[in-house]
Amino acid sequence: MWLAQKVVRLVVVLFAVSVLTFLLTSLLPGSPVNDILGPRASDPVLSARVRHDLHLNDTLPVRYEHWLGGVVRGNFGRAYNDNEKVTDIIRQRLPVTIELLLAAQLLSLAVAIPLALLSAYRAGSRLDRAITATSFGALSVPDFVIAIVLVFVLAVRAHWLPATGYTHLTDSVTGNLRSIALPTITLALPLSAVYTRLLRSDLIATLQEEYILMARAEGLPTRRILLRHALRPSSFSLLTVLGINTGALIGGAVIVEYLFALPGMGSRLVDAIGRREYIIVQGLVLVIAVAYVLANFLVDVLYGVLDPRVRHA
Amino acid sequence: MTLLAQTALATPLLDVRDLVVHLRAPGGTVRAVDGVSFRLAPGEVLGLVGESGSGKTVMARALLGLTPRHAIARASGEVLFLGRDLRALGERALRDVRGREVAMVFQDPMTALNPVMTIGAQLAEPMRHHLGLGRREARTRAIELLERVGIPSPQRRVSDYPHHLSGGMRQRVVLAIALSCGPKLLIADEPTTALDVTVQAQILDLIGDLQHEQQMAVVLISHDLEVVGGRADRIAVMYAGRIVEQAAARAVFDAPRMPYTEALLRSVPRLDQPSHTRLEAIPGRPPGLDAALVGCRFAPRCPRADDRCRSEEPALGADDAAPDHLYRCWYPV
Amino acid sequence: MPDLATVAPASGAPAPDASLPTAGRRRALGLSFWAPAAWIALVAFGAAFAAVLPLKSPTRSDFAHIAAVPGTGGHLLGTDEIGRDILSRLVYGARVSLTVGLVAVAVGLVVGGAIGLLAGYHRGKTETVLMGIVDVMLAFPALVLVIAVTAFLGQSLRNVTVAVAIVAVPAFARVARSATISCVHRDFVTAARGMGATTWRVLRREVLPNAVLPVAAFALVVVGVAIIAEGGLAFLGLSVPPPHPSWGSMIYGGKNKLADGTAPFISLIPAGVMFLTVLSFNVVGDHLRSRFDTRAGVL
Repeated sequence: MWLAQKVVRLVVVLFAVSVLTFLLTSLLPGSPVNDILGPRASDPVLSARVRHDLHLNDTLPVRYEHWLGGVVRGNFGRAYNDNEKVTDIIRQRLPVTIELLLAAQLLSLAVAIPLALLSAYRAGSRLDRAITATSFGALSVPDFVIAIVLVFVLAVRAHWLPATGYTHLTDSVTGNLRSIALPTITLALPLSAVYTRLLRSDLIATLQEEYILMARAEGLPTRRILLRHALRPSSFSLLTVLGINTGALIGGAVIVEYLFALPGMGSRLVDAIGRREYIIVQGLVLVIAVAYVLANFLVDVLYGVLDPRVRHA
Repeated sequence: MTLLAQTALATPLLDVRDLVVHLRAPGGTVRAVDGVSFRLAPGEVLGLVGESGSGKTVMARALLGLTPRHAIARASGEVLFLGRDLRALGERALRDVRGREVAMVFQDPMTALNPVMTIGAQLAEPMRHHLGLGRREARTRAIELLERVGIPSPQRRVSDYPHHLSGGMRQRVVLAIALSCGPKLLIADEPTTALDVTVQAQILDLIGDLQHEQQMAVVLISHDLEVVGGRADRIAVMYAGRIVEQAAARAVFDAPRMPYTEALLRSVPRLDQPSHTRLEAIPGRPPGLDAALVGCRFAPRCPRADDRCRSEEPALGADDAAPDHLYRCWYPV
Repeated sequence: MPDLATVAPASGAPAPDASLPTAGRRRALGLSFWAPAAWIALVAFGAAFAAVLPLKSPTRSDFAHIAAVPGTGGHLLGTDEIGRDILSRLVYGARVSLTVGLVAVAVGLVVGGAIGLLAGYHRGKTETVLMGIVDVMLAFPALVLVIAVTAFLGQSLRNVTVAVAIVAVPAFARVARSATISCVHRDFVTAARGMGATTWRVLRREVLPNAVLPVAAFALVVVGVAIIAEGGLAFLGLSVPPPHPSWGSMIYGGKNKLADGTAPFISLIPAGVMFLTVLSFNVVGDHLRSRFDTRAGVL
């Protein structure tokens, strides 16, 4: 069946991802022994013990097996230096990143869908050209520039919103919203530009189809035609990219998280790489990569649900 | 009283007066419809015949105001439906006419149906919008309509998607949608061109049945005279944006006046001719509609053309003996 | 870091950008094409001939003019937070940005394009394997890959370029595959194969010319993405090490003076230049796409 095929592929890709993650971090330069023991690394007894504890004497495949076995059981290992459990790190950091990316996606859709509809319906008009030009502009600004400009304008000058820091949802809802407002806008700006252009493009193509003309000939109102007839067949590219982005943003919002001091996955990952905390890097990268693959998989399945032709192709 | 006589007395359902539609094109302007006039009585079937490039599709769409606004270079004339000029109506008022009083059927059933909506949903939509039917009512009506157009097991088909159906079935669905609100006029733009030959006859028969049942007027557009042949009360022949002959169907077939019509009739292959009879094609091609045209537009391809034809365009006129048979030729057949 | 996959159109044919579908379909190459093209040419010229242009040193500080406003002390665009001339740093920084942008994209285009072409043409197992590898590569957060590469190989212009190229390959593979699939099924390819053409010949003469166009248009957009990517890396201190200037590191250097409002131009000038450059590539790429997108207009 169509679904079964995709699940098999998913499993294979996930497996490959785990192998690659492991290889990547295992091959990074620097020895964990030095990092843990510091100056005491010259002591042969101590370093031998650390090597044994970390299974560093085993061959690569054995180490991989050991690591994967642990992962499957929910044990991602512990950081070398402070013995922090990687799973704890993930549990703390992941929700923050997810909240940020969901907010950014929602905001960009809220902006992109109406703009795209307007633009496509009045394709070629001055409004359309203005929207398209603005989209181009928004696409061309790097996120770190948006971030620092926003901070400059809204936080420093106007004092409306906090420049950095994160307030948890459980502590204060308004505080939480205010703390993610700027980072959300930063992320949403280029996203909404991409979505607007994508949706507009597909909408224009759909609006040329004969069934749209037929709907007009039936005397149906324009808004209905746009929303009910045109939007659905035009959403495929948008949905695909939406899904891909959701997966990608888990690891991709790094700069924004860093600049706004948000305790998310990306910022922790950068720290870990810098501090050579490879176990942490391994665990976080695995989660990020798996999330991406799963998101893609879900998008694929959703395709089949939305476009009945795909299921029966 | 004969239908024709009744027709002469009744007020026309549709009265198109000197319709002109010129379109913008990369090279300049295309005079797709260059002064078309005809009338249609209630319940009458008018067959509109023309080669591709004659402007018939543009005309069909222009009747309902479906030509994209930005593409129109020039437009004038009146389209009187029950006395109201459709061209003068605003978009909102037009929408009330479309689907409800005047319906349209398109050529390619593969592309005329929305691929991501069920048949039932697409059928129900105009009824819910124009007639205010509730969801369940509309679904019941939809099933009835499917049955009426000859689709087997309509209760199941109602939840199907268009790609589950064959071409002929889809066209039946398109017809059902068009008729759902009981329109008085149906414009069928090449309804069978995209279908297999065997299915074509079925669809045309269906249109004929429905037309009788609903006492609907039909404008049946085709490039194929055979399609229009037995089904129309009157036939209008269109060439290069103009009507060049218009008469009762019988008259057009038995005694065509315009050489073009005659050539069209002759070019249809017949089974009773001896085998290997050469097909008679009309030499040349229809004029590009962007050039300014001088004289009779058929002159370049007409075997009877002379200098008068080439310099002066004939007006649409008739013989005193047959005032209902209009034609546009200096030297009629 | 912007994800290249988001810029790549999804499965299926690349989304056509049909501007108004009527007369004037082939947008005349007006100002909206030549202006950005001229800007790109200007930047490229500066990058190429930086050494022979009459510029101040990009690395030596002029202690008499720290954070000088543009126009003062002989510095056309002012100086940065430790007194270095902004204009010359911009020009030298352009070298980094353009090298990464153009070279990384070129490599990604050739390698990724080849993969995508083969996958799209042969389909079946070849496609599954190739695109499986591509999917796995795409699953990795781009930043991690790049950081890993630079950590592995050291921070230098060459390595940053290699890293961005690696990230670009899978995105191009996807686009090339879509483009190939959408023309492989067209009749003229079947006709060529029916006439007995070998795979190589079919690819070269029928598929490639048609698939190249959407891929090329995509490539220009990716150049913009790559420039931003390098900018982000430089901002994090992971690109070419100081004192070599890079637009991203210039923006980072001026961050504090922007936050307190004393000398916002230190960040904003390089940000503006980066913006204009990326915008230019985007606009030119879009022109290319709409030029070669031959779709029948409505009517």
